[in-house]
Amino acid sequence: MSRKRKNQILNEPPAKLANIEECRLKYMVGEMVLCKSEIDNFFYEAKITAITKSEEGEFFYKVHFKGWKAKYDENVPDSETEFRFKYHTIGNVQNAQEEIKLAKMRKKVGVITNSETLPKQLNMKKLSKFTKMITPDLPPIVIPANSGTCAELPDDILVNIFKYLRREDIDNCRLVCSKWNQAIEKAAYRLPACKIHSVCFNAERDKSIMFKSFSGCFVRFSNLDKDLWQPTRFIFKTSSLESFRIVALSDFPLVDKLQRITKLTNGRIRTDKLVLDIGETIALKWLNKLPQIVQEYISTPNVHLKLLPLTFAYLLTHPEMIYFCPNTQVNIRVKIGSRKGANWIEKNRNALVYFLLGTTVRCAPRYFLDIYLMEIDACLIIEPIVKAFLIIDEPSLFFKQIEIFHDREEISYLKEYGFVLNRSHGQRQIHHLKRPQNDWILEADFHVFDGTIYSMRLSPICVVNENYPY
Amino acid sequence: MATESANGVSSPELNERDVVITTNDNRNFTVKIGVARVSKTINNMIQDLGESLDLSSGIPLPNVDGPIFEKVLEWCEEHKNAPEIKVEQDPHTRERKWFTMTEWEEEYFRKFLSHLWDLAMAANYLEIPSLYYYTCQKLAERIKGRTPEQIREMFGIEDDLTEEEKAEIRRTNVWCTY
Repeated sequence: MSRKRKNQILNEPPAKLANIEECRLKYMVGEMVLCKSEIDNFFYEAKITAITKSEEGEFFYKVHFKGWKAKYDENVPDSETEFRFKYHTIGNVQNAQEEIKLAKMRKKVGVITNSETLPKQLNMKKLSKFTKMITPDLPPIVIPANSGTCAELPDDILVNIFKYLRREDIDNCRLVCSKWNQAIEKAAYRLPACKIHSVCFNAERDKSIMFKSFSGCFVRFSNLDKDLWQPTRFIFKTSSLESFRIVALSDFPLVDKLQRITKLTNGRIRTDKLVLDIGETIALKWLNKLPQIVQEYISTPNVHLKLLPLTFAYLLTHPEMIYFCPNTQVNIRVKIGSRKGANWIEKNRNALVYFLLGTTVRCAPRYFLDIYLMEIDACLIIEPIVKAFLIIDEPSLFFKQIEIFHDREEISYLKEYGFVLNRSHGQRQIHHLKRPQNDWILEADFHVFDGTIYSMRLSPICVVNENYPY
Repeated sequence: MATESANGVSSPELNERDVVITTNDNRNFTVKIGVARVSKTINNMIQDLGESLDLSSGIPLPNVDGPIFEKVLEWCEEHKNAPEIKVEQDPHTRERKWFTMTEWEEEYFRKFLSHLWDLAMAANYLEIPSLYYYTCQKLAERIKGRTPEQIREMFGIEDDLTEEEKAEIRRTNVWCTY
C-alpha cells in the first residue's frame, strides 16, 4: 500500500462503532483486507466499510471489494473471517493477484487447446509463457522416506536458516510444527527482529490505529493531551514495548498521561520507561510553561528526559531551574550537538552548572563533544560551590557513560563502581582512579581540598565499543 | 590455503597427495588432501594425526553417508581455492545478508534440490562454511513468503501443534499473517 493510500485511510473518519466490544474484534472499520469472494472463491482486495451486530450477537463485517460495484458487497460473519479474510500485506496481495492471473490464464490456455481449429498465428511464445507461469517456480523438495527428515535437524541449522528470513516469515514458521516453534522461541534473541524501530502516533493525524506489532521498538505518542485518544480507536495487540516517548508538552499533567497510556493499552504497557523527548519546535511552542513542565517530569521517578540543545539552553536561562532537582534519581540526557544550542550554552555557562548540580547526567558522548565540557570547567573555577566536574581530554573518544556526582560520598561511590584509588599528594590530593573494565576505563584525578572533592578529572584510557547504541 | 601444515610438509605438496575417506556405509573415497581440507573437520583430523597420518588406511566419517559425501565432494572440488565467505548481518534487524551465488553454485543446488537438508547437516558436521551457509540460504529461499501449510507440504513435516497452541502463537506473534 502506498503511503498516500495509507494516509488516506488514516484520515478517513471512523464509522461509528456499534459497541465497545468491537474493539476486541480482529478487524476494524476502514481496514483493508483480502477477502475471499463468495462468487469465485478468490481473494480480492477489500475494505471493511461497516461492522454490524446481528440479533444473535454475531458480528458481521460489511466488505466492499476494491474496484467493484457496491452490489458485490458482502457481509462476512466474524466466525468465518478465519478463512475468508487475510491481512492486507504486500505479500498477500501479490499472491492473491497472481492466483487470479494464473486462473485466468489457465482458462485461456484451456480454451485454446480444446478448440480444434488452433489459429496458426497463435503466439507460441505467449503460450509457453503461460505454461511456464502455471508451473510453480520452486518444485517441492521430495524427501526420501529413509533419509532423515528435517524433524531430526539440529536447532542450530534451523536457526541458521531463519537468520536469512524477515521477522514476518519467522513468525509464520512458528506455526509449522512444535519443533520449529521451540527452536525459534529459544533463539529469539539471535533471530532477526522486526524492522520498525519507532512508531509515532499523533492523535490529531491518526484517527484510528490497529496496533498489532512493534515488540521491542519505540512508540511515540503525540498530542496525548487531546481528548482524541479513546481506547475504542486503538487496538493494542502487543505485549512488550521497549519504551514510550511522549512528545506532547502542555499543561496536561504527566500523571494523567501515564494513566491514559496505561488505559489505552489495557495495562499492557510498562510505563516505567518513559522518555520525554522535548524537541525544539515543541519547546518553542510551550516556551513559557517549559520550566514547570520539566520540573514536573523530572520529579517523577523513572522518567528519562531527553533535551535538545535549544530546549536545554532555554532552561538554562530560567533562574527557577536552579536546584530544581537535587539528588534525584532522574536521568537527564543532554544532547548538545548543534551550533545553535552551543551558542546558547556559551551565553549561559553559569546556569548550565546550576542545572547540572545535583543531577546524574548520562549523556551520549557524541553529543557531548568538543568544547562544552571545557566550558563547564571554566565556570567551575569561578564557582567554588561545585564540587565535582568533568573534563574530557580526548573528546573524539566515545564513552559509555559519564556521570557527574554531587554527593559527599563521591569516593566511596566511585569505589563501588570499581575505581581504585592509587596515590595522593599532600593537601591537594590527586587520586588516580581506574575502572578495571575493558569496555570503559577512565583515569580520574580528584582534587581534594579539606576532605571534599572539588574537582574531578576523568580521562579515557581506552575506547569503548563504537557501536554503543544511543 | 594454509601455507604450512602441522606435520611440516609444505602445503602444495601435501595437497596433491591422496587421502582415503570412509563414510558410514563403508564406501571409500580417494580424495586429494587439498580438496578434503575445504572441510575444517577433515582438516583438523589431518592436522591432529600429523606424522602418524596413514593416508592409505583412511579417515572415517561416521556421520556422513556415501551419496551425500559424493555431493559434498563436488562442492569441495569447486571451492578448494575459494576464499572464506564473509557472513554479514543487518546491524538493526540482525537479518543476515543474502549471498550472491555463482552460476555453478546455482546449478549445483538445482541438481541436488531434494537433498538440501542432508547437505546442510553434512556441511554443518564437516564444517564447510560456504556450503553450510549457502544451503541454509537456499532453504530460507523456499520458506520465504510461504504459508505454514505450504512449508509443511514442501518439507514433509507433520503438523503436531494443537489449535490452542496455534492460537497462542498467533496471539503472541505480532507479525504472523496466517
